[in-house]
Amino acid sequence: MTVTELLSPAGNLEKLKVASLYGADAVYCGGQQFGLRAASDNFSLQELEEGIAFAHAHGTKVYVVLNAFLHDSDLNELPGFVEDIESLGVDAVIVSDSGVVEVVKNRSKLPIHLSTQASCLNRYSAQLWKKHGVSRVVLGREVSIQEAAEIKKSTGLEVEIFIHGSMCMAYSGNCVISNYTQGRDSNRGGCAHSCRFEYSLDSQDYEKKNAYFMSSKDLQGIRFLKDCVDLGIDSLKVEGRMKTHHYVGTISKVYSEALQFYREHGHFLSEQMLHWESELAKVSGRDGGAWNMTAEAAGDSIFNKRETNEESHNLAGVVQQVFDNEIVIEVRKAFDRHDKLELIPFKGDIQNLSLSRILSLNGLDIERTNPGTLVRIPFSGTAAAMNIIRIENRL
Amino acid sequence: MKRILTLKKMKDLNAAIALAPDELLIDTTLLSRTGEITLRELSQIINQNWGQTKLILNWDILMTDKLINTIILEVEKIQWEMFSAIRVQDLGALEWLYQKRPEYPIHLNLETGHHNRVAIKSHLDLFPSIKRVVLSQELESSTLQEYLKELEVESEILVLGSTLLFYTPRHLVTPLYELAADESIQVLATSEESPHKGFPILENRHGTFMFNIKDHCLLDHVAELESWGMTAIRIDLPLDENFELIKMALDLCQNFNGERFEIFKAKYPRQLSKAFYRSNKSDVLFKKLKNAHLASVDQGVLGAVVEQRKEHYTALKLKSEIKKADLPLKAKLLTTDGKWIEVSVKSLRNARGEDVDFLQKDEIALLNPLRKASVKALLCKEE
Repeated sequence: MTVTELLSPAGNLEKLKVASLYGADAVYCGGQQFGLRAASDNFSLQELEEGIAFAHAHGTKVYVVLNAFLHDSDLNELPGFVEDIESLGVDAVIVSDSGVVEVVKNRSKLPIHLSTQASCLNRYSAQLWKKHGVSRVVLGREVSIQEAAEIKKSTGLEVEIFIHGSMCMAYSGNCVISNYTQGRDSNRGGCAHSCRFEYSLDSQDYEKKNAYFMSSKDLQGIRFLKDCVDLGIDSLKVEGRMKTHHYVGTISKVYSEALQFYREHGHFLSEQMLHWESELAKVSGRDGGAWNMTAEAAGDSIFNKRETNEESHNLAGVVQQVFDNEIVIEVRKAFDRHDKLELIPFKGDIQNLSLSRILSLNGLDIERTNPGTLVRIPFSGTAAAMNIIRIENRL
Repeated sequence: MKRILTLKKMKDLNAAIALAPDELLIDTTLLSRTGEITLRELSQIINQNWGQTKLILNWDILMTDKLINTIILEVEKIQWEMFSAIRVQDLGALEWLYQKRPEYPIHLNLETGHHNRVAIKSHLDLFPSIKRVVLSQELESSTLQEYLKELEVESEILVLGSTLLFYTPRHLVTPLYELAADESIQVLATSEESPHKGFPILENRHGTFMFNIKDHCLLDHVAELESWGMTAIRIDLPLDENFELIKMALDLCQNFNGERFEIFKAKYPRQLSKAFYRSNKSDVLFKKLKNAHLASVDQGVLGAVVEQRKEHYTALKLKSEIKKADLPLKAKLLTTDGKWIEVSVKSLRNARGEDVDFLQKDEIALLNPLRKASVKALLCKEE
């Protein structure tokens, strides 16, 4: 029987640890080349080695993305990189380009997962990629859960679908707006997110309109976890290597708890589902929905609004060290003693953080913290390094 | 070299016959992204006297599993023998065709996501029925020249027509105007966040398509493409409304003349571009988004600066153990702007400010203030 895997993003080494500690079964991350997130921190080989050791010690697999569509000159350094990451113990690579598939096959024994960027949408396409040697297909976001299950059944391949996060509006790999308008190859990590711009639309036959008509709402598939598990989907992917620790930790915690609950009980409780959804709402930006997971995404999947940072909660900091009755926090967003802070444990209930005092590392009382500093806070609950502290934004 | 035109509408049929291309790509409503010819109308097209013109059926839509299973029922009814080949872009269509008729000639459209020879060859090795590959507009001329030396199948490239920038199956424009999703609509889109204005947008039953404001034109490079071994060139414009322009373009393809090309460009209704033909540097700009200095350091890192309080301490998140017994310790600081500064570590305290004999990896160490330290700078061992 398939045990559905939760696959979380790891934009850097710290986020890899966060994802692993908060319950991800596997993480995906990029090296300094060959991926699609050029602006993400990504991993040096030393960081990758440390990340793999950490993840494996916590029962988490590590997949490395090599999912850019490479030009010939980009291929020169790929064989050496593939050999390096295989020697580090990477569990699989995620690839879009059939040329990269060939290099990985020829230079390693690494399992190959076909990236969603290849827009594998149907069983015949999956059969073709099986001939190329891939063991798993990350299906296009246009594919429903039911279709994914049928593709798995007809090919024998593992199937992975997206469960949460931002979505490309275009068929993945089929948007080159950045290439032609900004000279940045979207399929080699340079996407300029032109789909999030506001456009004015002119037509001879209709009135002029201003709209964010190419911007997609986010995916949020928690209500369909049951179908994913029951239909044997092998892996559920969370988008977001560029996103914060808060996002990575919260999504990993919520989905892993939900999957665990369903494995143990075979059902969900509506009250619990509401709680999980309210937790997800604290890190979601663009009105999540299931969209193509169940039916063709319609007009209500367009996020026709300007992007804002009006989230109910933000990352206040990350616990760096725990002493008796005290924690040391690396501050990411300024707060003072009147703010409402909560500590998100790896497992279990959220804990309120009472800010009776805030101290600098040399023991002086602080009225208001600054991002990029370390502070000590009295705390008598259970905490661990890498716990996330979130702040409720004041209205 | 074969000259290819595209027939998208029945009203262009007479123009297609009159222009007499070597090949005519047939875009149907069912199988192609922007075609408007029904399958029923195919027989009318097939029954024309085409002389030397060969007909190619274009199947370039991308398909989910449900859609392809519906579509293949229709494709099975088509008289394939009336076409010289079928052109596909969805690799699922390639696989299905090959399973169904392993000998039937296929033209594989590799305009998207195939920018290295290993990738192109990988498909050719698996599918002997691929008789032609359609190459990407993003390839530089020097790369094309190299490919054409090696390719053992026919090759094709667009030399005149619009460039597709964005393809989604979602209906993005009709909801704004409260129209039914199966209606077709064309608009021009302009964003204040982009210097380019008036991107043509088309929405039809297959989804929404955005095209570049400039059309692609390599008419002045056809001779060199032919000399390198390009087998076919394609002009992709509506035939009837551009009849005279297409005639000029076809003539320029065979007998290029600079003066007539200038006249052609003056008459052309949109701006023209060679895009990446001369050089493709589309991976240069975004490499600057990362801090290359810090990304390049892999060995000997003691820790990363997480806080700097001048005259009080430098706080370090340790990457490796540090001992009081090793102090004073000569070290190097790699600043965020890439400079190496020699520093000396003289004191060691924990995050509570307590003197300690050693601290482990991942703990916070308070050191004496290190000059030029700032958050994210790296402290490294002296080699």
